Amino acid sequence: MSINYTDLSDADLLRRITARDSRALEALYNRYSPLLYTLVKKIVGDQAAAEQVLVDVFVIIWQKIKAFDERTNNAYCWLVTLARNKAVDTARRMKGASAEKYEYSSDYENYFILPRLSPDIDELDLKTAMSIKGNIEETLHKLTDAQQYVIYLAFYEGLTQNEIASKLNIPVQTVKSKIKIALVNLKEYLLRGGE
Amino acid sequence: MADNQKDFQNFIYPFSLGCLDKEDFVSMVEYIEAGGDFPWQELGELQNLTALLPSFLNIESPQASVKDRVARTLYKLKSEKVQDKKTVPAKVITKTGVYGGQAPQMPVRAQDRVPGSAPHIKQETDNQAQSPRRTPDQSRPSQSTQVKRRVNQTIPDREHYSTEQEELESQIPGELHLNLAPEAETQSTDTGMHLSIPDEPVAEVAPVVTDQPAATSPQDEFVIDMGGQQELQSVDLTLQSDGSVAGTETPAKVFEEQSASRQPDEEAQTDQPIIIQKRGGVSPVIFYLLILLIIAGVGYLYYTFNQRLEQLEKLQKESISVIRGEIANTASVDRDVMLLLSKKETKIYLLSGTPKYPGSFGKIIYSDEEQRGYIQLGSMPEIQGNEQKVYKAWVVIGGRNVPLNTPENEKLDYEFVRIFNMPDISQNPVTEFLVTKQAVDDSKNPSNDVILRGEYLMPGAKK
Repeated sequence: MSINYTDLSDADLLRRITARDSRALEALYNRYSPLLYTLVKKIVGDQAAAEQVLVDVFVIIWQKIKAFDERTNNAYCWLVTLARNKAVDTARRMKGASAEKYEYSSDYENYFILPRLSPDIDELDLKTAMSIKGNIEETLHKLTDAQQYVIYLAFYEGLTQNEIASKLNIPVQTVKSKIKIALVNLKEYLLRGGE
Repeated sequence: MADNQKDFQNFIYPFSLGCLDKEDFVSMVEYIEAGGDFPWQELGELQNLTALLPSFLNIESPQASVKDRVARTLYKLKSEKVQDKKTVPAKVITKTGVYGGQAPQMPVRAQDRVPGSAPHIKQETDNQAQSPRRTPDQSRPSQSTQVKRRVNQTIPDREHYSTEQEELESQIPGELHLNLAPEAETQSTDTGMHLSIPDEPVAEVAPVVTDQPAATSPQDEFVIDMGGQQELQSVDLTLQSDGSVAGTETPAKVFEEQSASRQPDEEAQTDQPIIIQKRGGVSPVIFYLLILLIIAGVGYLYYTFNQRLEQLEKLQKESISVIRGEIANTASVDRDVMLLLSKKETKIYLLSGTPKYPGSFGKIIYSDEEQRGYIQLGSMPEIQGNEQKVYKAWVVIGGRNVPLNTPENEKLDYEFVRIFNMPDISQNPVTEFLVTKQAVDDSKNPSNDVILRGEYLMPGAKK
């Protein structure tokens, strides 16, 4: 009896990858590569680099799938965070050695690139994420420009709090406060269902 | 502590957004791993929220070749892993010989761990040999026993003592040792001298030593101190002209034991008695040394053997893990091939060996609809390790050579290997397939060394 991989959930695909099923990896690639590529390209800005990062991400998925906590059932968050971390790291290294002081290694990858999801995270998959993306966009636009910009610098530019503070010439505490308020507001707007 | 906890709880916002400075990130991870209290649910919500941020970007797809690159990279890594697996055991065995070399990865040298190791034993030996506690009564039997032994000694015993003495000489430098002759006119095995012990004691002791056996004179007498606290016999030995020494036992008072490291001529000038080391007192030392050596040796062997066992066990586990992965992957490929074969539109292209390679064969299984396929090769000629060549599959379509991008470092024999970059041949009247053997870095055109050839004619098409 053949398995229809397109019918499998994201988490099921990851579980099959854990069992070294290469067809599951292919199905995961078919499903996620557009989103991850778009995210990665937005971060690194260059098509060739984005393609390489995407290759690296799927190699990491295959090699280090055991780092995925199956109990979370949240493949979406794990994959997006992984791709984002890898892309940000690549972008920082492309900027020059001073931007990233740690040498890239398997240990570094395990520590800084592989996502550390909360064990108490809700399930989320690509299908669900795509179904609520309108709400997210709408909610994001409700934030102040400053809040949006701080989130943009942090998430897409990969700047740390201190780097954002230096770039905007504002105290680090202000950056921390803006990040916190922006995320809390986002969460509340979403919970209220885009009222 | 409470402030610290509050700080970490505030970290969850930048942590979920991925903008914590690395030092703070490390602190936070350490805090989490130490089992610190944490608002996990809130962190989970924020992580989901952050992951949703890219969902409303204008999605664009990567080029089709990126998928191939992923697959090729994984194949390449797999091959490298298999190669590593094959080479690792040899390296490890070389480094961890049980008897020979010291394993570089050993954190502590064996000799540092075993109490009775060689340096310690040497030190103990030196200490014992020079110890002031090694008094004559402790190391020697009574005078009567000595005399009795001298009278009854046989040559084999003497040889035994000589061996012990040689060992001691190597351990206690600078101390002069002489062999006691068990009977008159017995040749010393290690000095070349003859010891002559007259039955009657000599009243007067005249200690004279010479180092030239040929220059013998009546006063060339040789006094050997037997030591001992009780009344002892001293042996007067006279060096004869032929190199022999005439000796006499005589009662004597206690002689002070001392080192006799001087040369014989010096002895003659200073009239100092020469001390004979009591061989019977040496045996326990040697015995203890041997015991210590054996204990040290056994300890060292046990330690190195244990290390070796641990490493072999680790290697075995790694190998099992790799093999499990390979089995799972092979099973996955087999399932996929079966799935492809069950599709109606899947085609099988047969490849036959060229006249140069008549025994070789192969087949390509490909689904145009799924754009997926595999190649299987059999009885391929062996590629020598130093050839720097690989098999390569090609599709010749409209005079254009398209490599199928099979993994270049696979041996391919009888395995189903995924093919990439298959052009659309469904509309092409004549398509030719080639498998060549060619240089690793030559991937633009097929070489002349064609091993397999196949052909596909569109239904109704003529060649």
